[in-house]
Amino acid sequence: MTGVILGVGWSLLALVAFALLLVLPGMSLARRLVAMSDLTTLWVAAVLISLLLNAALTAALLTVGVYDPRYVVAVTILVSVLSLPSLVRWLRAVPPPVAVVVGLSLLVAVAPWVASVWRLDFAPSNTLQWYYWDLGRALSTAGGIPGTVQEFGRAVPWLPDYVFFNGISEAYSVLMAPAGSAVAMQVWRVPLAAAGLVAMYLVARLWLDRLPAIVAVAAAGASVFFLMKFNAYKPESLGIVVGLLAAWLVVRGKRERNATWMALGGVALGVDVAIHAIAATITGLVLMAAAVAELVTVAEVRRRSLALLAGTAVITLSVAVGTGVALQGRPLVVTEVLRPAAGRPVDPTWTYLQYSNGNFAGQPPPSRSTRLAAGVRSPWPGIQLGWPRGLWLVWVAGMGILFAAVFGDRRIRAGLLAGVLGCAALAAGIAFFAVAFSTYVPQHTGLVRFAQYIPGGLGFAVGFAAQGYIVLWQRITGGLPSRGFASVVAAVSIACLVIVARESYRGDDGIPAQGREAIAELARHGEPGDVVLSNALTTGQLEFHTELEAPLEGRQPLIEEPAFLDHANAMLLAAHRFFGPERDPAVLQALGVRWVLVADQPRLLGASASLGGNVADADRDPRLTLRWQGAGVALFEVMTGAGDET
Amino acid sequence: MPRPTDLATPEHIVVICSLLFALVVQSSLFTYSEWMLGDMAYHRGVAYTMQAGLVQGEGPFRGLLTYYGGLHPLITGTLAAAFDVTFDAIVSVVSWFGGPAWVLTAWFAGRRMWPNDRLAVAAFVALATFAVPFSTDRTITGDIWTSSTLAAGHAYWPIYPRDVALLLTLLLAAVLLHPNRARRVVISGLLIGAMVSVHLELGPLAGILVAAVMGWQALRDRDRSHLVDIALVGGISILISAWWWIPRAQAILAGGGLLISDYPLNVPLRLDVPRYLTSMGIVGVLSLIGFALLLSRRFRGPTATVILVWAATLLFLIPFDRIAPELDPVNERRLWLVFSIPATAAAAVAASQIVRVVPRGVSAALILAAALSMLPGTKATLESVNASWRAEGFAGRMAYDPQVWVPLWDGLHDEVVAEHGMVMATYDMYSVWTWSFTGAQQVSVWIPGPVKLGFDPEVLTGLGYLERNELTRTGFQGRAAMCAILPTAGATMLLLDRSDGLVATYDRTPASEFRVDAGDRDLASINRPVAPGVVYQDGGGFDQLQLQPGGSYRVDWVDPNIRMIGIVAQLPRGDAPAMEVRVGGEVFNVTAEKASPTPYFIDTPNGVDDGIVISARQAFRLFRVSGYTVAPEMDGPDGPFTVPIADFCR
Repeated sequence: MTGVILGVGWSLLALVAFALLLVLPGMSLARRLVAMSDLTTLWVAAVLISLLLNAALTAALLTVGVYDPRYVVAVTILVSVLSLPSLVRWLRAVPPPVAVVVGLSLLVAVAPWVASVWRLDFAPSNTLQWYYWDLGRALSTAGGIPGTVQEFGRAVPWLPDYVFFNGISEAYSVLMAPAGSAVAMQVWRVPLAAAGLVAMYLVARLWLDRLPAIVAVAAAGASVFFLMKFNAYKPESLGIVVGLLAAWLVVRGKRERNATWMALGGVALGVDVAIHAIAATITGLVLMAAAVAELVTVAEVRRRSLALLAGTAVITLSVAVGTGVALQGRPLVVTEVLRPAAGRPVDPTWTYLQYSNGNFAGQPPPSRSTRLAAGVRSPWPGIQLGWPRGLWLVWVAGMGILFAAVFGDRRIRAGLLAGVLGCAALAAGIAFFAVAFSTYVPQHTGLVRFAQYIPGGLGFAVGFAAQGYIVLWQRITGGLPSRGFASVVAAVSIACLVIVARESYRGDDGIPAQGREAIAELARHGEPGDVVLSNALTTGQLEFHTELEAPLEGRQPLIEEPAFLDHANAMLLAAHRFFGPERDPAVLQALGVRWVLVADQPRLLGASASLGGNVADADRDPRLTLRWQGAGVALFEVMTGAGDET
Repeated sequence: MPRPTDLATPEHIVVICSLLFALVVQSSLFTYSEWMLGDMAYHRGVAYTMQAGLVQGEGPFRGLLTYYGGLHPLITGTLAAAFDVTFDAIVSVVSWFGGPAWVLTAWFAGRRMWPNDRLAVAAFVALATFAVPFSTDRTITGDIWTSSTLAAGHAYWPIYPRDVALLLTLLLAAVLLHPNRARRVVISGLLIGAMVSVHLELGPLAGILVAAVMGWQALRDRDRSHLVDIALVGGISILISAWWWIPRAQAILAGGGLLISDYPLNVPLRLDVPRYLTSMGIVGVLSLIGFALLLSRRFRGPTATVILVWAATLLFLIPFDRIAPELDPVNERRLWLVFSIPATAAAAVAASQIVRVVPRGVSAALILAAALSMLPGTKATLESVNASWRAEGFAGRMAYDPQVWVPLWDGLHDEVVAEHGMVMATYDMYSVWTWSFTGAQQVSVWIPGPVKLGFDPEVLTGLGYLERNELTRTGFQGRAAMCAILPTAGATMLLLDRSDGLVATYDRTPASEFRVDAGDRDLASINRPVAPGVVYQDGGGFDQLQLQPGGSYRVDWVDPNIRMIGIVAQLPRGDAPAMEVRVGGEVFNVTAEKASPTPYFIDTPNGVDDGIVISARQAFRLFRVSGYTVAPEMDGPDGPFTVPIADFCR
């Protein structure tokens, strides 16, 4: 019960922190751009203005080298206080029944995310969230863009891809300080999931009635796309929310012929590139498709509309490139992705991915089609599509969409066209990365990272199908479905979302008690500058909890800088040889290791793969001295001169 | 009489195409088989006991009343006797017309349901005929043919009792819409009675469905006459099916309950929404629209009432099978199968309405897409139908040469009929198939999946299933034991193997001693170690011992007259010996001859003085061990032969 109370409490605190950072600061200015009667646009504008305020502050402080998230927090709180009168007016303007229904629906919909933070002992394991958190921490520590960080025993440039995400998350961590970093990281998902569902609903409402929009959100929210992207502290979820809201505001601006809204959306989308480039790119594709559909489906294309959309695109690109040049050291992240690393018989990036997942057998990479299919074959948990088993979905969605196309009005057809164009753009993106590159990472960007958005698109397709069935119903019966029927469908949709999401997150394992104890012992024994090596292929948790250097907890090899990639592979192989039967100690000297943390099962330290070895083998190694031992986990200190024999 | 021009309406075109499809495709080009297995193996055995004068139909043991069966084996058995052909021949030919009969019934029911809507009738006939799942899963727990939850999948050759019951259920839907009350009541009662006599699960279920419709009408109209109708329908059906259900009720009341549980690895069907849509195919997709439409005011009427009340009643019953599957006589797969009838009707309503409102081009595209999406399921169904009846000469895992066995079984069957039934003894491996192909009841049998005991044999016959197994095991231990033990179970005839002038008077299915009672078969029992290196495996159609390297099985036979040992085993292919047989001081190493289960013979000119030990050098499957002894008076050609037990023991 305590866990439930704390989980709900910390979730509420996270919501307040988000409101202070990303809603309230922009409220006052949003009031000047949007009429009070248009509550939704007002809210979206407030969010995007708040985001821009945060980004501008962060960028300015980083540029002059005095970045401290507390400054950002102080300014946003100050501006938030100034926005309070606007907030009060906004709240008063919301009709109470609407507030109750929307509030309750949202509360129910995010219940699985709240429930996933109920466990007091739960510490998220085996994701890259530790790594992201450390990136932000490095930013705060340096007070500007950090020069280098240590990975695989070498100094590599700090990864600037998520700089605005890091800025926001650092400010968030200041506000969440009473909860502690690990808790803050866990509850991050609650406000993000709520924002994600709302953003999807708003985008769906651009084209769909309320009921089909709810169906679309439920179907997209229960898809593996949403469950995977919003399951943890990661920049992509924030990037998706910002991108969707920006796209929504641009389309609204186009419809209302409001250049300011479009510009605001365009700037926000440009900033989004420095939150998460893939999320921004894909939501940008959605926006592009929607814009084209808006233009095509009106009787007469106005020059002003075209000019405004073109201007918005220019603004977006300018902001993205400007941010890249000023803060990230390159105009666009895509220039990093396009860096060649191949021309060798074996793709070194594939080797790295194999090694960093504990696979040293030298398997060839799976084919492109296998990698693509793996991500899209099961759009919803427990549902496997295939031939002909997946035909039911084709029929259910296809027939509904067909009815929507045949009987729908201009708005629905614009949505369908946007969907078709969006799918085509996404497919082109996938094909471009999959075909144009021979190395794993750019191929992975297309085949996996882009393709991960397809299930979300399928969710929207289900929403359009629902709209189609409603118009069919109207055609056949001459009336709309009853309010009771609509309520039942909406309730069932939300219930499906809740059940699927809850089941998906139920299996999340945290770091077990003995693992947490071992990491605590490491933190207690270790001194600043010490290097730790673990046979569990952890993804950042050791550095996060101990602030010691864990050289194998890195991600920079994926930038595909050939020399560093080779070095990382060599280090992983050397570590495998140390933990394996050879017990080759070369890695100890190469990385300057002082501590060796060994787990019989990698999951004990929150990892899913191992370099090999176990506690008993390590205990027999004369170069290691046992310092602490728990059930299946042990901490050893490396004897002085242990690696010298090589 | 319809005018000639009427024949050209879409409804007639659909009916004619459906009839042709049913006659040609669903009969799988007039398939004919004299070697039917699966559930038909059981029905054949029952039919042959009926031919022998046991009109109630009996299982493989004398006195063991059948649970499944009834009119289906009675009629087919009678026809087979009348035409002097086999049960398989009659079922083969009659089944060609099962599909067309289903189409005509669907047409009749459709006309009754939508007298003024030819489009809905056409859609109903088309969907009832052509619909298949969006699946090609041919496993027993899959989606097509006999495992299909769509009634349309059951119109394929051959026709089982369940298929007849389904046809009658559809007829019942039509009768419920008959405007004349007296006819409605009387014919409903007759149909339900007939269904009970055909299928003890679907018959009572149909009674529940009729009662639900009439009960709903009574409630809605506040008219008690509907309750009187329920009583009348119930009375008529109970009365005319009394000949069948009373003996069964007595058997149940006598104790022991029902033994009809499925093979444990056949995971019970549990449909969720995606699986419903997969299993029901286009019918599933359209039915959701159809049910929603039928709930609207515009479509209210008697037809909507029957469709919706049937669907609701079946949906209400499904949770019971999930909560207490052992108590529910109608499993979820069957409930969905019956559900497919209202679902098809709802789908027909949806299809006809869609065709009416969408432009013609869109209609045509949808119909074409529907036809194309039915191809994989239809192809898989046909492949399944064809593949299932091509394995002539196999039963369980063993090969039976039809040239040898068919004449032998035919002769035995003639004797069974002539003597008004017969109890015989044969080796465990042959017994169930011999009953199935002849009607000759057995001392004991292995019960493959389709052969369900139905009732506890101990209650009805005085001898339990395991007790009977033990009798066969101890009985086939030499001539003296055979003559002393087998007649105590009523056996009057023997079916034995002869080879090189020797007769297998010793025989054992090693797995048989590890069998569990029919009601105790569960996941734990079907695959379990029974000794170091020895695993008992119940494969459904057969059981075996899996001997791991080092594992061994001992047979304690001691008889100087055993001149040859026969071992049926499935050895891994290769040059290295897989099986080691130790007889006295001699060791024989056996290498695989074939990959399939194969008999291996070892000469023992000095007899067996200290049992036989069969050991595994590599893992293999052991099915049967036989000991052949000298029997000069039984001289004859090699192979199986029958002999009256009185002659054998003289």
